[in-house]
Amino acid sequence: MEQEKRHWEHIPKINQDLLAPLLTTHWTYFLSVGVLACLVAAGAGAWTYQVQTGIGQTNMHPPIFWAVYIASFIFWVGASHSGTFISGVLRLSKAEWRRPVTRIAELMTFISLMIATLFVFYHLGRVWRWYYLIPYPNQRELWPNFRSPLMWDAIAVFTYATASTIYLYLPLIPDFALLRERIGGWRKPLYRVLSLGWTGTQNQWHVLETALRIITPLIVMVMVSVHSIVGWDFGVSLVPAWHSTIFAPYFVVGAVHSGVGLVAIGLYVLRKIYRLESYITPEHFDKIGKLLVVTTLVLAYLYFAELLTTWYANIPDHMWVVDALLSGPFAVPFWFMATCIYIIPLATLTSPAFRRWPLGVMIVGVLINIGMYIERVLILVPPLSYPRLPFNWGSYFPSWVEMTIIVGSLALAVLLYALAVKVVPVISIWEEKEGLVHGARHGK
Amino acid sequence: MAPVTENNMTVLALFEPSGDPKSLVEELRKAGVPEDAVEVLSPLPLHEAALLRPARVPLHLIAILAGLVGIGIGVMVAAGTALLYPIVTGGKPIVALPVVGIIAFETMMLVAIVTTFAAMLIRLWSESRNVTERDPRIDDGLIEVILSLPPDSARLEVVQALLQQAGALEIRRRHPTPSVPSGAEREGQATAAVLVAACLLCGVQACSRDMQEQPSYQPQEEPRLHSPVGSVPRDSRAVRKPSSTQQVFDEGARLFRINCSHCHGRDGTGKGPVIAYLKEKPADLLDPDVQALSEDALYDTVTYGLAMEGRDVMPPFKGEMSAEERRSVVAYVKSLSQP
Repeated sequence: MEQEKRHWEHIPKINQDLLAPLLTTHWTYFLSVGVLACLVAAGAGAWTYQVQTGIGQTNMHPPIFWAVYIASFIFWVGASHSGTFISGVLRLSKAEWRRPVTRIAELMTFISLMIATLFVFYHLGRVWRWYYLIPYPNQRELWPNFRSPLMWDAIAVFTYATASTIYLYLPLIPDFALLRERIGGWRKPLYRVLSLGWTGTQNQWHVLETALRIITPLIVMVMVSVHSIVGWDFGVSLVPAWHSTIFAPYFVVGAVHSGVGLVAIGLYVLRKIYRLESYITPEHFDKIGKLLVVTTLVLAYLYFAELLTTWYANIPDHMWVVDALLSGPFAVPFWFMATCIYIIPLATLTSPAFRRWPLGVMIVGVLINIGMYIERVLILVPPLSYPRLPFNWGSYFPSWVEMTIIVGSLALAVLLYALAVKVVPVISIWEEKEGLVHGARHGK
Repeated sequence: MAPVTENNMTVLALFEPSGDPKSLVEELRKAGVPEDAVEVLSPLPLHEAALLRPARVPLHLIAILAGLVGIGIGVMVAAGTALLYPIVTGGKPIVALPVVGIIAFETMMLVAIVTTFAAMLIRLWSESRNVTERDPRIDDGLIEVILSLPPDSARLEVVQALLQQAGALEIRRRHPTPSVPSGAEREGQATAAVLVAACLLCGVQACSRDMQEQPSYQPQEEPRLHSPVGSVPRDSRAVRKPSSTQQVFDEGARLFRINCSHCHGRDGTGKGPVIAYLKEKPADLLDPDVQALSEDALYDTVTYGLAMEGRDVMPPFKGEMSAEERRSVVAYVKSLSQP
C-alpha cells in the first residue's frame, strides 16, 4: 500500500510531462509546419492541374492503368495497420509496454487512412463524379456491382476508417476531460465538446473500458479483412503474377511490416522532440524490433512461397514477369527493395544490442517503409507491363505531376500529425497513470 | 433513477488515494444512503466492482445484436439488391455467396462498432448526471466522493461523520443549481432530435425518381441554346431554311420518282408498277387522311418506314436519303394535293 501511494504521487509529474507538448512550442515547429504547408500546396497545385487538364498528365497508359496512385493507396492503407496492430493486438494481449505507444500509433492509423482515401480521388479521371461510387437510390437507377472487389474495398476501407476513428477517440475522452481543465484559449471549447461531460465516475470508467474491450477485437478483425480485400483486388483477377491465393495474407503481413516500421519512426521523432525519454525507453524499441523481425520472417516466407510456385509452374506468361523482376528491367528496384525490407532488418534487428539503439531502429523503420513503397509499385507495374499478348507490352515511370502529388501527400500526412500533436496528447495520459498504479499493484 | 432533485443537498469530499473508497461506500450504504446517490470520481479506473452499478442492458449484448443487424444489412445490400437489379456477367451467379459473406462481414463490424460506440456515449452521458461539480485536483491524483441526499439534517451529520472518519481532506456542501437539465429531459431532447432526423430522411425518400417529370428535349425542337463558337453542326440535327421553294420542290419530285414512285406511283395515287407483288397496297398519298398528316409526321414515316400489326409495310429511308432530301420529298408529297 505504501508503495502504491508513492506511485500516486507521480501523477502530477505525468500530467506535467505529457501536457508539455501541447503547451510549449519551439520556433522550429512553426518552421517545419511552414515547409510542410508549402509542399502540401505544391501537391494541391499538381492535383488541380491534373483535374484541369485531365488524367493524361499521369504516365498511366494502356496496358499500365494502375500505377503509383494505387501503389500509394495500398501503401497508406498498409501504414494504417500500425495503429491497429500495435495498439489493438497489444491491448488484447494486455502487454504493459503498449501504454506509451498506443496513441502515437492510433494517430498514424487515422491520418494514414485519410491520405489513402485521397489517393483514390487522385486516381479518378473525373473526380467530380465520385459520388457515383456511393450506393444510394438515384434517378439514374445506378447501383454498384457488389461482385466487384473494388466495391468490397470501398466498404472495407470505410468500415476501417470509421472504426479506427472511434478507436482513436475512445481512450481520448478522459484525456480531453483533463485538457478541458488545464488548457485555455481556443482549444478549451473544443475540449469541452470532445470530452462529452466526462467526470471520471467509476461507472464511466467501467463503460469506457467495456467499450474498449468490445471494440478492440472487432477492429483487429477489420484490420485483417481490410488488407486482405486490398490483396483480393489483385488476387481475384486473371493477370499473371496477381492471380494468386497468397495475396491476402501477404498484403496483411506487408502492411503490418510497414506499419510497425512507421511506429518506430514516430516513436523516435516524438521522443527526441518532446523529451519523452522517461516514457519511451529503449525497451520499447527492443519490443518494436522484435516485432519487426517476426514480420520480416513471415513476409519473406510468403514472398518466397509465391515466387516458388510461379517458378516451378514455369508458365511462360507468368515467368516473363518473374524474369523481369529478378534479372530484367525491374531488377534494380527489386533487389533494392529486398535489401531494405528483408536483408537489413534481419541483419540488424536480430541483435539485442542494436534493438536497444533507438536511432538504429528508426533508420531500419525508414528503410522498411521505402522498401515497402517500392514493393507496392513492383506489385502493380511489372505484371501490368507484361500482359499475355507481347505486342501490348509497356513500360512506366511516374510523371512530374504524379511525383509532386505523392510528395505533397506525404507532407500532408506529416503536417496533419504535427498539427494533431498540438491538440491531442501523444501519450495516453490516463493509461500511463493506470499503468503506473495498477502495474505496480500487479507486480508489473 | 436519478436522485438529483432540486431539493437535494450535494456533499463533496476529497480523499487521498491511499484511503479505501470501497469500505467507505460500504459504510455509507449501511448508514442508509441509497446506492445511486454516491459517485466516486478518480483520475484512473479503480477497478473496484463494489463501486459499480450494473447497467440494465450489458454493452456486450448490444454489440452482438448490432452485429446481427449488420449481417442482415450486408445480406440485403449484397444479395437483395443483386436480385433486384440483376447484372448478368458471363458464367457468374447473380448472388455470389463469397461476396455476400465479405460484404456482410464488413457491415457486421461497422454496425457493431458504431452501435457500441453510440451506446457507450449515451451511457457516459447519463452517468454524468449526478455529478454537479468536479474538483480539478482529481487529475493530480485525488479521489472525490459525491453524495446527493435529501436535506435531512440528521442523516447529513451521520454522513459527514463517516466521511471525516474515512480521512476526507475537505468536505463541502452545495445546493445543486436547478439549471442542470434532468436525465429525463435530456433523454426527451435526444429522442426528439432522432425523430426529426428520421422524418427528414423519410422526406428525402419521398422525392420523385421518375425521369418523365424532368424537363427534356423533344424531337424536332428548335435548339434552346446557341451552339458553342467553333462547333461543327451535325446535319441530321440542324433545321435550316430551304434556299428556295421551287428548288426544293424540283428536288423532291426527282427523289420521289427514284425512291417512291415504284410503289406509290408517279402521281402518288398508290398505283405503282410493283403493286401486283405487294400484300399490303401502298397508301394513296392524295387521300385526305394522308394529306392531313403534319410535315413532321410524314418526315417520320419516310425516315423510319411504317409497320402495321407488327409487319413492315414500308421500308425506312433514313439510309437512302439525307435529312434534307427527306424533307424535300415530304414537301413534294404535301404539294400533291394542290391542283
